Amino acid sequence: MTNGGREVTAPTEVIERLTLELRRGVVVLATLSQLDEPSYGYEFQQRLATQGMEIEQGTLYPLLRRLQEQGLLDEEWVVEGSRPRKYYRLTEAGRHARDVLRAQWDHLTAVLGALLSTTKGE
Amino acid sequence: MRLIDNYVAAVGERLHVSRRSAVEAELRASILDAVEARGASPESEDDVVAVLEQLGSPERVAAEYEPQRGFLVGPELFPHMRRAGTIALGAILVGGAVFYGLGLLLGDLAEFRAGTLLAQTLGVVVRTLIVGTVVLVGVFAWLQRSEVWRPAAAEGARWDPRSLRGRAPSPRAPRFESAVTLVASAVVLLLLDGVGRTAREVGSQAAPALQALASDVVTAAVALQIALLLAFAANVAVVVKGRSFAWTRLLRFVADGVAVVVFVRAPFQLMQYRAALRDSGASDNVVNWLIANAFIVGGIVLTVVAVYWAREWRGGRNRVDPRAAGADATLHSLAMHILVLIVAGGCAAAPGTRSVAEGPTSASTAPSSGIVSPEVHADGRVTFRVHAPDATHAPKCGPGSNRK
Repeated sequence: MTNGGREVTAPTEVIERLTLELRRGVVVLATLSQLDEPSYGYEFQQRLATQGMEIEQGTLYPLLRRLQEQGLLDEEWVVEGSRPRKYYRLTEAGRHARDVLRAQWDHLTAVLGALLSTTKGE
Repeated sequence: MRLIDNYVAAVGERLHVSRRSAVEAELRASILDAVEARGASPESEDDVVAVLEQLGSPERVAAEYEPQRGFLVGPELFPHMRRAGTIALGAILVGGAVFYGLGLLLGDLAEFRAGTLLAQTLGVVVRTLIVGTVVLVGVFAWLQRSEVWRPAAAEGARWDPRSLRGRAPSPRAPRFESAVTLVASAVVLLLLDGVGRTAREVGSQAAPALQALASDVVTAAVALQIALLLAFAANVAVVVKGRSFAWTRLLRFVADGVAVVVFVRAPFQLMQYRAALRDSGASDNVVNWLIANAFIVGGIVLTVVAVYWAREWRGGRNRVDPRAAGADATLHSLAMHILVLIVAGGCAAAPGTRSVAEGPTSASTAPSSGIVSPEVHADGRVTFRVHAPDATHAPKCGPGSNRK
């Protein structure tokens, strides 16, 4: 973008922070969408990554715990070999929350798609 | 494995105690999964470092675990505030010690004023601590909400997992017992304050020989109050953090040391004042009873403290269950409080203490001789009686009499 012939760009850290905030909003839905089957933290993070949804471990593990505390996920410790692993799975409340968020997502993407299609500058 | 332990502990200590152990367990399991996925073992330091770097600094991960909490000072800044607070606390305590030392050196040593000076010093230190805490928290709360300074960890900068300090698993202490101990501390502090005040009051009116004893009682009460405050601070930390630390053990050790010195010295001090107590009207039986009890209490205190610290020293080297240490510490702390409570309560409530301390100068009934003076008769006459078993004659002087 130019202003009077001068190149104007937003500061990198501002862009990074805005991107982070945008992603934060969708990781919850991404997580809820993939936990019909039980999965443990590291495996789940890898599964999302292979589908293109990169979430840092330091963000995902606390998120799983928060969702479990909110009653949207069930947890179960399973000992495999000598190693205990904590498996998460959607609860009924979690499924309901996922469906509501999905409807919201569909609505928002439709509205935003329309809004962005009228944006100048592309 | 050491790096993983350090990392998990560093995250855990920044979390609320109610969720700490659960988060530590799942974080450890996830780290081991990630290390295993790299085809490495937990002993491979380079692989563990790579996994931990990917996870993020302990401050950042801890903040992710508790984003809904309204922090006055967040987990990223809190370690810096704690470091600044530790330095400030050290400076204030050293300043207080210098203030007290100079006051003793430059003050009038002919007059006993160590207890008063100590009380003044403690007053200054406590006021400075309160103001310092408010200023420190205020500055860091402002930094937390401003864009002036953000810690590198919050910006996702590289950090070195090897820089995490090694921590032995801290003994967890039962919080309920620590809270009970805190209440006991408050009660004993109030009681000791009463004992100190009574000793000051009685000492100001007592026979000269007993004024020194009253001063010693005041000093002992002040010393025990300091010891209780130290134990109080340690217990507050245990209640808030849910575990004990090296510095809380140090505070308890110092507090125990002060209590041992006070209680072990007490019978010997009483023996020094044996003659003065007898001259003040206390019978031999009472004096001997006091000294014998002081020896018993001193012995119990010494035994409790010695047994506890011996177990602590042995347990620190080969402890299996860290919870046991916390329980030991609290039980020991409670035992000491109950002991001090009994002794202080006994001092405050002992019948005849005040009259014995006041001695024969008081116009009251001397307990051992049964003398009543003055005695006002129904016809208006007043009789003064003096207990003087060694007197050989009684000269009279006054209006209407010839002085002999």
